[in-house]
Amino acid sequence: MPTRFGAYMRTLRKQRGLTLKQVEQSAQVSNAYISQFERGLRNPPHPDILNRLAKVYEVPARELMVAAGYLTDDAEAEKRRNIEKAYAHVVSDPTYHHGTRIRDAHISLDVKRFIIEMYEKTTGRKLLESA
Amino acid sequence: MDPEVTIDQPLTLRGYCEAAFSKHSKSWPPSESALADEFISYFHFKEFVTLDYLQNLCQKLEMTIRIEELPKGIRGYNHAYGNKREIVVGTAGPRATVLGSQEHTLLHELREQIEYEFRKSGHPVAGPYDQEDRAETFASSVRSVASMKGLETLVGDISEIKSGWARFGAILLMVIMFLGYSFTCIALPQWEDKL
Repeated sequence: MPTRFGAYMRTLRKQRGLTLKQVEQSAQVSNAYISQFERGLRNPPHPDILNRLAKVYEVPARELMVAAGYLTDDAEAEKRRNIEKAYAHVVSDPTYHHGTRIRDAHISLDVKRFIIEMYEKTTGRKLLESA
Repeated sequence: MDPEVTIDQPLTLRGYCEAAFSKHSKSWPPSESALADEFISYFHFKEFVTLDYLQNLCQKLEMTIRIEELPKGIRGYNHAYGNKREIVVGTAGPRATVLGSQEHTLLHELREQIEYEFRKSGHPVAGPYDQEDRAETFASSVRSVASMKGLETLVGDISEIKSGWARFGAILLMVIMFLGYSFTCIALPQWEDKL
């Protein structure tokens, strides 16, 4: 049965439209091994391998480390909560209108932070400090 | 190519929206290609769309334009607050620049600002679910329609060539370049991710 980590890694790969073979070639990690940890048959890989996979999946390596349980996510979760809260404020402000040309439907945390910064700069209101 | 935009009277986004509405009110909402035609006509486009040309136009519309590195995942951003309007276009790789990625993005963002004007005037065109697709179509259409204007200028220049063979060669080259350019205008959004 897939673990949470395995399901997460599989989702990342699928979102980028990559096959196991393609990831194998780019990250120099055996496709059989990738398939196994995606299906929960193996423990999360070594941080060195996660670093290589992070590059292929274009996500911060820290994100994979946290998902694999190598790093604690308390600080990250707090930061994420603050950003989500501030972002919710930005999108619900009827006086502020914004739009983006986005690569896919998913708005990453970095993009949300950027939008908040734009909002803060334009409106003169500080959200992240008080969030 | 002269990037200077010649505007005899103050042209505004609101003015453009009013012109588009008065022309298409019977079949509202109009298609993006109809809006692109109106855009080319209202803002007197005479040449192929270049980044300089668009930046100049936006400045005349009192819109701040910035080109800078954007977080991974977005190519452009636009926002409006009170009277402030700004568009940020992401830096593009060399191949994407050749294909006009930044021009496309700027037009996409401009289209979203236009939608904001349409909404303010009580005549929205796009809904929340098709706004992105519409902005993409608008950007492709404007570049494609503007290239027709550029083509008209080129045809004028070619007609002055006296040698028959040279004129034929120039026309052939122009047709090939035009078809290639039009194709990149339409196909750019599909290619960008691979560049």
